[in-house]
Amino acid sequence: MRIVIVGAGFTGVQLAKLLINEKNQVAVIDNDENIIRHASNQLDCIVMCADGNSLDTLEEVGIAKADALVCVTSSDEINMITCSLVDAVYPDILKIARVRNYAYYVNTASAEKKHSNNFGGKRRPLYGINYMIHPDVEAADAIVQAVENGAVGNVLSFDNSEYVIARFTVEEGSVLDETALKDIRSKTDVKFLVCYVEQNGDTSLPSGGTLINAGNTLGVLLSKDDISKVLDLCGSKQKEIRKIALIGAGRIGTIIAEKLIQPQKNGLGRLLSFASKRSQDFVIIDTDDELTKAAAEKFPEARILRADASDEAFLREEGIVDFDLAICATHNHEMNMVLAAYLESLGVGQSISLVSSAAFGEIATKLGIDVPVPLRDAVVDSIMSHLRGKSVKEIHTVTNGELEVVECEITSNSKVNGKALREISNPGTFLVLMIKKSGIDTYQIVDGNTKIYAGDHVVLITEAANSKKILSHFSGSNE
Amino acid sequence: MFIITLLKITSILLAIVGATFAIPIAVAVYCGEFAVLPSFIIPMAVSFVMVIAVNLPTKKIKYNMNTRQTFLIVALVWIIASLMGSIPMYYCGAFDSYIDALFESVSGFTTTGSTVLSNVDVVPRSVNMWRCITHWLGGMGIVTLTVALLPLLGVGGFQLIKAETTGPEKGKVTARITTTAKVLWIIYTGLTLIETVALKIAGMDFIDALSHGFATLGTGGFSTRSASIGAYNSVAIDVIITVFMFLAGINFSLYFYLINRDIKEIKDNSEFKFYVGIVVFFILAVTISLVKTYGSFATALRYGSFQVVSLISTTGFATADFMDWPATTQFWLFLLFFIGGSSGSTSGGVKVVRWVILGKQVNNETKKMLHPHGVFSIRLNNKVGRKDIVFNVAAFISLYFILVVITTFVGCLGNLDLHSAFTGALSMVGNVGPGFNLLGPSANYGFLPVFVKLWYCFAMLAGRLELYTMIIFFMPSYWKK
Repeated sequence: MRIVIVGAGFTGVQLAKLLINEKNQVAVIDNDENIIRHASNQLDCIVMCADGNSLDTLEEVGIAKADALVCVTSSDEINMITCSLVDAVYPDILKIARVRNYAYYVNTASAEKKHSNNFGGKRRPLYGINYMIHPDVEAADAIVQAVENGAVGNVLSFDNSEYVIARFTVEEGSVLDETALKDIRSKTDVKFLVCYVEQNGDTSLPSGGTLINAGNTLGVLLSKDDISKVLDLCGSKQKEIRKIALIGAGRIGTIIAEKLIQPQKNGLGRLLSFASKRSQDFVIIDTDDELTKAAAEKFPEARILRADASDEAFLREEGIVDFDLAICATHNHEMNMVLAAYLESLGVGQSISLVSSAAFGEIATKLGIDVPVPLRDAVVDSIMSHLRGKSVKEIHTVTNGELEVVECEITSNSKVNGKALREISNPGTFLVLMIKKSGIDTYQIVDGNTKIYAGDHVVLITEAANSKKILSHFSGSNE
Repeated sequence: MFIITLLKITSILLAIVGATFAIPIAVAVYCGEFAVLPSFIIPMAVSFVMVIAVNLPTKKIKYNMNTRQTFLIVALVWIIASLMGSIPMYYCGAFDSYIDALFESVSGFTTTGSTVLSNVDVVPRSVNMWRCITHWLGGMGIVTLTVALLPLLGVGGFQLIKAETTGPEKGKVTARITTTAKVLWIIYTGLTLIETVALKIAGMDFIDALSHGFATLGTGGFSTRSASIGAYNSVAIDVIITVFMFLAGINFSLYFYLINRDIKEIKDNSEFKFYVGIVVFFILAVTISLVKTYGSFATALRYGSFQVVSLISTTGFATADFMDWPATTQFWLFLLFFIGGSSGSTSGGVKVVRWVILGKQVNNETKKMLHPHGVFSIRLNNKVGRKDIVFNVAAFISLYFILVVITTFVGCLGNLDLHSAFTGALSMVGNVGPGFNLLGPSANYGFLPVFVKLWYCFAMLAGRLELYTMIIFFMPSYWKK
């Protein structure tokens, strides 16, 4: 896949690195000499110092043959008009523009859903841009995702899929204790697949005969909605997140609140939920007068407080210290980390913090924050996922890199073409997890009878050392 | 040249009021009441001559008014319309003095429905019809009718209508104010006709049915019988009028939404929900308290629901004298004097929406006690309300009760007992109709001294125009150049 990136700032370079790692052809353009010099030191690809919004320049780096154009300069206008320009000449290229000014931003995905007849159909996409990326929206989405995953770290999610791989520890007295994997189906009808088992520090790919004991940690592929059910099976009750404190009522906070606040039930439903104490308690805290007022008008279901969230007296007064989850999403990212750690130290169950980059995220984890969400990486991840929609192979590593989750497309000369999984299985070396039939957009969990045909996408887990061999075995090529 | 604008607008309004004299004239001809004909025809002719005399020579002069002047126009229009309406009443001879006729006319236009007559049955049918028409004109508003019929008022029309309609938030249901006014009047007329037909089927004669149709939709309360609706002693008529009094107490914009199938707008309307809730609650409370008096639940429900809806919609019809009812019933009914119907309806009173807003503010203040750092907002109709709406409502309610207190005092000066004076004041300012004790449903206002009647006229007009339009002239800032 050929990709042209306009803008070699942090995002551009980060993106280029990932794409180069995944063996794509990348060209990076920026008009600042210093930035380009810095980028060329880090990147093994075409690097050019010129104006990205010129067709001549773009053609020079091969836009004519490119599959995608990503505009991540510091100027929203340049990003947008460059995409429009390219759209006019090369309509088939996937165009992604980053936009920081919220007034320009259109949520392309939801707009497409709403106006499905006109959008992305016969007519051109809006402004010629297939996807607009707004950092705040991406960060908010990542945070919402984290909350939906139960605010536990180490949840691996897949693009365009409801499935995740999550880690569970089997407790004493669980129904799964001392069960062989092949018998697990008789215990429950929840659809899930055990991907790997950690026993006494060893990680292994399971087979039907693998025996599960209390104390083992399982990597389980399952639908997001089933996380609590599987937790139940493992004998540990997930504490339901009911009381959420959101610190920061700015744009990110607002988007998060929009998605997380459950609509109020009316009449009887409200009474019932009140009686059973299962209703959500959502608190938004900010020091800004205008922001809190706007939030109070926007979210009648939530409790809006205007105060300094680091004021312990205030936190105790409002009972925030007993909350299940704190989300720190102010624009001061360092403050978010400190605040999240502080809130956890006071007794808040779990914490999610918006941080500026992945490096800070590691520090945040050390501070005891459950899920750090790096803003810059959220943008890169989002662009990557849009590009992957095109066909970049995705690689995830799990359990410190011992295992890899990879995705590949079956070609017609593949050795497994037309075979059922049962026939090709080789316990202990790889495990097919999910399959996406050609022409269908969603993944399914597989079983032994699933047959593989050319054109299908297969997600499998292997030992990192063997992954290349397995991949070529499946895809049929000798790459 | 504001004076010309003023003359033009008032003359047009008078001509429209004059044109409605056609209905009582037709009734008079039909019933052979030729003696009262001149008292209708002469003012009608005069108003027509005036409108031509004023408008022809000034055809080229454009309407021109500022906010200050719109208040003056609306206030004057209501006073002049009341004066004009009193002419046929005075000349028909049923009233003792001109002041009585004026009181009756103001009571009609403001949809109060308090009468000075002890025996309505002897009044000519055409004059009775005219009394009910004043309700109908005053209910939706004379200015609104003018704007609906003559789009010439243009942009200024909205200012005029705003000075006349009720409720804290005045909006338009359609883009153009003339269309809005038209839509409201068409709905209003439609409902009136439906009720007239229903009453006719239920056994009234056509003239009575139409009169009561006018009086119900305007939430007025004048009847063509001394014993009010009770005179017919018919369950069907009671039920029909109860239903239409209830409907007239709803914001008329909601009917527009209903016609447009905009059900969400109705579902989201906070005032409507509370209005229905209050009516249901009070009907139950009153009915339960009346079961002993009437012996059966059904009868208690019939009389109770009629009286509750009659008072909350500020109509003031009666099927029974609530002064004979138990004290608890009287207590519930007394509370209704404070509530009033919905904003944008033809009813008077404080209006449900104002109490809803105050209630929400009280709720917010309570929450503020629990969460000192909390930030709260008021939502109406599932939307964020205007930010200063609480202040607006608080000021209105204070002013409302100041006027009630002064009116009570005037009543006491006129030798009323406190109970009568206070409920009388609530009834006047809220355009309800009956009060308690001496001013109860079976009594009339004829015995009051002249100065009390005049003050009551002012109180009724101030209440109908939601205080500010009348009271603004007593503020020094209005007269400041």
